[in-house]
Amino acid sequence: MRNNQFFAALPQLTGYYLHSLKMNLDEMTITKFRGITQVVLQGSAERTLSLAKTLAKQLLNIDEHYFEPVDLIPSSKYVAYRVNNILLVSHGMGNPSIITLLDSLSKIMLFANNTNLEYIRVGTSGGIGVAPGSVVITNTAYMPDLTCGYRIAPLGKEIIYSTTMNSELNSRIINAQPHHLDFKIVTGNTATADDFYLSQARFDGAIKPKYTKVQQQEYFKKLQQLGIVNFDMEATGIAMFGNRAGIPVTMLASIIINRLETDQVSATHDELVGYTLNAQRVIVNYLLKALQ
Amino acid sequence: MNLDSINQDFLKLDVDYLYHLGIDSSIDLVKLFGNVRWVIFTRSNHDAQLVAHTVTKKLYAINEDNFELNPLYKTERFYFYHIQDIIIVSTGIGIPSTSICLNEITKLLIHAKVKNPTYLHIGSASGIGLALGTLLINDKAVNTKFESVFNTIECGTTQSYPAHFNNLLSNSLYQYAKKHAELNNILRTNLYQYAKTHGDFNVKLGSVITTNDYYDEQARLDGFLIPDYTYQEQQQYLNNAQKHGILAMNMEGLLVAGFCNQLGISATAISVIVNDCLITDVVNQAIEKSPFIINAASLCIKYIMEDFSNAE
Repeated sequence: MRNNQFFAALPQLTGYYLHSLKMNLDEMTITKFRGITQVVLQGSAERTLSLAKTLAKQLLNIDEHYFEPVDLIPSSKYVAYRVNNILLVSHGMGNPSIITLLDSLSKIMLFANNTNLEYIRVGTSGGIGVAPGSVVITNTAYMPDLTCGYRIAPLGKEIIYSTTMNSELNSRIINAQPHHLDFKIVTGNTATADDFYLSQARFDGAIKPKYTKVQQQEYFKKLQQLGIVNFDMEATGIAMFGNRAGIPVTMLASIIINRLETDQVSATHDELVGYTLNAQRVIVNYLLKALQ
Repeated sequence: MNLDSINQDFLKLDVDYLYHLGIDSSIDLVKLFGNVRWVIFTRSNHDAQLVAHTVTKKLYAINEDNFELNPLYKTERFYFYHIQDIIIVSTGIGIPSTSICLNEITKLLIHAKVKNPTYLHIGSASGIGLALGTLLINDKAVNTKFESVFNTIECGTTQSYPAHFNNLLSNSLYQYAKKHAELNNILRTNLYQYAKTHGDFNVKLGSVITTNDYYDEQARLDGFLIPDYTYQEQQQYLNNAQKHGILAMNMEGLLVAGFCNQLGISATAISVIVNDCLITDVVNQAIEKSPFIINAASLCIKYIMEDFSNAE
């Protein structure tokens, strides 16, 4: 793990206030998070809770009907549940939200001395030529203008950071899967948009698009030529963070819609739950093996 | 609203799924939301709750605190409240999440045939030379290069959203305004004047830098990752910002300005100052004991009620 020495040297560190989590970086906090080896990040709080219950059942044989996990984060922006050495966290939508979370979380991990650590995002995403129900494991994340990297401009000066996911972690996840899954696992690249609508070339946002259907199809073709198989909103951010922090990161995402066919997420509630469960099954298979 | 900029495609759908709100157009949206005139956006669910509570107390002259309001529809992504002609909704952190919320709320209001809604964004922000608790009414949002323009990638191409004073500026001024992501001038000036004359609030008018993260782009030195700048460079940058009339940093302003100007929606943003970057990057825990966000909510609801009585 690599961290900012300036941060570690701050004189007021004991009890340093993690504003985004509404938590103090004190012994009480650190104790709760000590020994964490895998952090699983999902967009919504509800999916985070459901995965915590699934894992408790699978790992510890605790019946989910009689068990309500405790949220470790006081802030309403994120939730975190702990099952054994695994931390399940919600990150909200988009890079600003997930990067803010990863910063605070990593400070706790550093102070808890959790140096043997992996961050895995389990998301939902729009497939580009990939059918709903499939699960995509990301190799490299691209910006929507096809930049291979994550561009930020601190103090007004642009820098591009690497966005390649950890390939060894990817192999470990793939090798942990049984032979007969009833859905497809696809490895490929991911385009990370800063919006659900115009940035992902949709036609159903509030603002009239400046592109045509033909331009949309050409854009999708260009994405496919780069091996991009899905759109999400956090892959570049988490990859940048992992690479700079020296923490293995990757992402797997359920496909809930094929963007070559439609813009609207019109699947029924039960269908969506089914798609989402596929990515959760992949991560559970991996976690069961990793904890052996 | 600017009819030319509204997308007509989603109105042609049999059913439009506002996926992240958990509402679709198969229900009678005109009946349910046709009365909406104001939308107050907050960052966190908790803030939406606080604002909804404050607004309800004022609107119904309730003195007690011991009541609860339930958020409506899907709570997985945002908290959504509808009280009289006001919607209060949380947006999550940052431009991407807020963009989804603004898109779907706006589509909802278009389905409901609401003609001229007013959007108010309330969120905590880091001040640059401002006292804690100050309410900074934003006159414009800028990026980290101090350019007042919202750049966003659409279908692979960078688009710069012009920011114009809708219904007020002539075409020639429109071209000039392209370079300035100004929030709606009339609304923010009114709100500022109102706050000034009512004296309850420590209020300032100024610009805000909108960033895509909390540490690097806000020039903080207390992040986990190793920053690409030194303490001296940080200080120089913040002093320079102050000279440009930039008094705070947040993570949503540029989008709220760019989006609303594009659609001709009256909008402004109030930044609630929780730390002064010139003194420290760190937000002190003590601020949680004084929910300044309630001051911003009180300001908005007083302004709304006064506007409403004027309208009658």
